[in-house]
Amino acid sequence: MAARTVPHAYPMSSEYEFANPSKIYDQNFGEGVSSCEILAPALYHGYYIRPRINKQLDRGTSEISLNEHKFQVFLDVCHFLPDELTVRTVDNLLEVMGQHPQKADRHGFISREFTRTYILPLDVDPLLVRATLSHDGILSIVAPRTGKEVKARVNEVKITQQEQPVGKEEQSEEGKGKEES
Amino acid sequence: MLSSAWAKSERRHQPINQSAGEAYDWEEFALTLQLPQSNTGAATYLSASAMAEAVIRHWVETPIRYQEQFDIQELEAHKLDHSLYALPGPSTAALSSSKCIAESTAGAGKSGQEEENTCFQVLLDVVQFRPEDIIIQTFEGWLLIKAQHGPRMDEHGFISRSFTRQYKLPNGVENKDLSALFCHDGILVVEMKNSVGKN
Repeated sequence: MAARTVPHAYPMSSEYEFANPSKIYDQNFGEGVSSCEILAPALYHGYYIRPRINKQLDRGTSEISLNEHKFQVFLDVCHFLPDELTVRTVDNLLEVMGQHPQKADRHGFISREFTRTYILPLDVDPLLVRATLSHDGILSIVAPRTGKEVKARVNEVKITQQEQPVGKEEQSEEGKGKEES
Repeated sequence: MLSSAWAKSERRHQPINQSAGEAYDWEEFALTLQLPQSNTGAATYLSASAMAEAVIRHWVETPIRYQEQFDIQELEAHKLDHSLYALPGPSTAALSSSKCIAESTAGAGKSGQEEENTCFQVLLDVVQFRPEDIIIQTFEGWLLIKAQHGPRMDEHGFISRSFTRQYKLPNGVENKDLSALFCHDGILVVEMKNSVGKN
């Protein structure tokens, strides 16, 4: 089933064609759809997709902005209350967790849970990570970058060569000879 | 289905044994898959069963702009094509779109869930999940849709998600009346099996 890579309707941007878009869309999940929100099927890169009206481009996004001085992440967590969210770092991983109990929305009752893990750049100190939640449910996580290139610690390991004992060499050759004959 | 039938009979005969019965009260039903490609074993099995049971809907349900196209075709030979178009499309939506929008903005209407006497349909956007991540159950007049996937890599790192959605079923609707369809573009449809025939 790993082959099920159906492209989403959005975004039809050139950036998305490349491997590392700074912004990814369509990350809200468990949404109900009403039949009148589904538009006619369209052909997109050889796949049929049904564009949906309720896909708002500005919601459900995850964005990473990287510059020389800071690392910043914007994540849309509009389904979760501030106390239902956890942000923590494990080594150089930044984990955002959200979990909300059953609640009613316009389609019925739903409970959700997610864990998203970002990888911090090497020059970011995990202890300096700060997170703020805006009133419209965008979680912003900032950490300063030192800009120092992390030097790779190189340690050449010397290879010691083991010499084969003379006596054994002869024995093995004899053995080969026996097998052949 | 056999196991659920067995569970039912057991429940009937042993109403006292609640703790054991609890696990069996939930009736699951299989997800019918409609995917253009399926390579792995389980998926092939599921989609094969989908092909066997695929419901050829009447073309009345197809959006008007495609009816001409399907009119001249033998639908049996184009089950997948047909299923692509057979979902509620713009033909009905266009007529009642103003009503629908008013409904959804008011927030009062259960827009994802059309409830009439003969019609029950739930549409759910599960584009982030795979068919095998989804479990659909019924329990005492409630429909439960659970979806869960473990850590997966995406463009920004790793992500795992899970959700549980509950819908109240109309009176008298049981497990056997429902069918589920996972469309290849990530829409899950759970509806009553013979709603087309009745309409």
